[in-house]
Amino acid sequence: MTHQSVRPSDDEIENIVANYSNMLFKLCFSVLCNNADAEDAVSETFIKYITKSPHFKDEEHKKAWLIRVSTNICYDICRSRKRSDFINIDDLNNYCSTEQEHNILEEVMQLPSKYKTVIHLFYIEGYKSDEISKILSITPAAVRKRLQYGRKMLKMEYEKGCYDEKRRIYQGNG
Amino acid sequence: MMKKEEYIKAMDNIEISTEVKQRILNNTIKTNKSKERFNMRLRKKIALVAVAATMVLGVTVFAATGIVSSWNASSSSNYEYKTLPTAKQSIKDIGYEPCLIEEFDNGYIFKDGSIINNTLNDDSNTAVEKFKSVSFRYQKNDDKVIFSQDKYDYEMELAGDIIYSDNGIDIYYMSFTNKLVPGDYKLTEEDKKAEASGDLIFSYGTDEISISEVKGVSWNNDNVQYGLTQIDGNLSADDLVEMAKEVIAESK
Repeated sequence: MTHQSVRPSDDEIENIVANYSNMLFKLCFSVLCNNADAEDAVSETFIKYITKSPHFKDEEHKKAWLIRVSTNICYDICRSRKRSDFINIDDLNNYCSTEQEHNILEEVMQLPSKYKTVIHLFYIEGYKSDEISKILSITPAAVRKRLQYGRKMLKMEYEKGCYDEKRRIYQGNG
Repeated sequence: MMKKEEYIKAMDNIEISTEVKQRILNNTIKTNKSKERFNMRLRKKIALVAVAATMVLGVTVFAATGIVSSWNASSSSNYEYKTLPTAKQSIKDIGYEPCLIEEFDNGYIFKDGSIINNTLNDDSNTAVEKFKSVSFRYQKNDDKVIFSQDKYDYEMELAGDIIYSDNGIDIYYMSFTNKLVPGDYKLTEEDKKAEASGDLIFSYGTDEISISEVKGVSWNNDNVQYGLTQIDGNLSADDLVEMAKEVIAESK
């Protein structure tokens, strides 16, 4: 068995940054709440990509890998922040044109990181619970719980689709 | 508007700026190039040092002030250790107690060992750190494994592919072909292509041309970098991982 680590070419790097930097930035900003930390996290994600030079089955596999790595980097940054550190969310002002938008994003930013991540992957990236479970290496039950708590804290309404998912789960469990 | 829709609409506004994207791209490309240069130099050092019977695998090391550009290692041509040293002797020789294993579960037994003098240099060839390490050889029938242990201060990052992970320790696997050639050997076009792609590493100074397959696993634990390496050996990557796991268990 031979595993030869082959570094990506400049074209491959340009391609991956062009295709995924925006998606990763949104996710990292959501968790870290400011531009500077989000930029650092995205940058570090791509550094890990060129360092590990992983082999991907397909684009979905690549995207999932990038999400998992960037999420772990964001969690490390959060852990390194002291409890007393004030989280500056002034950067939100750059992105919000209405007070409503600002308020909803501010609410999301205040969620614990692990809930924000799942909420983001479910609503913004459109992943299903079992897909989120595989990406984040947590159980499907943990995903559903975090979604439930996140929605509760945001007072986000269940929509019919979400309720049906919950109902199917209960029916499945008898 | 439902809250979910509000949230999605608000998140649509968050976008990476062109300037930030370009900055990230430039930094990634630059880092990729410097890692490639360093690994090529490091593999050359690995191959040369292998001729002197000690080896370190796939390390990319970052100094606090920049990137460590070269790693020079030297050892005596005679193996200082004919038997496994004691902890006390090791501390006297290299300043710390390495992992001391007499025999691995798969039957590889301690044969001999060397003390290695290491220097990490920056781009201007200034030494940024000097340290001693040990390299032990284990043998079963005619097959040998080199077990190296290096303790140094700079942040360590290992190259190769992660082949096993447990309890926060990642074990990396790397392999390459080492072509040993005389000092005045002229590279063919095929040689140059193979060297540029990283498929072939050249070592100069032997009397005859020969090819060796080098493979090994490496990992970091408690500020020590460990490596188990074979030159034209019989062990598989999985076999080396099992030996690594034994070392990790012994080091606890």
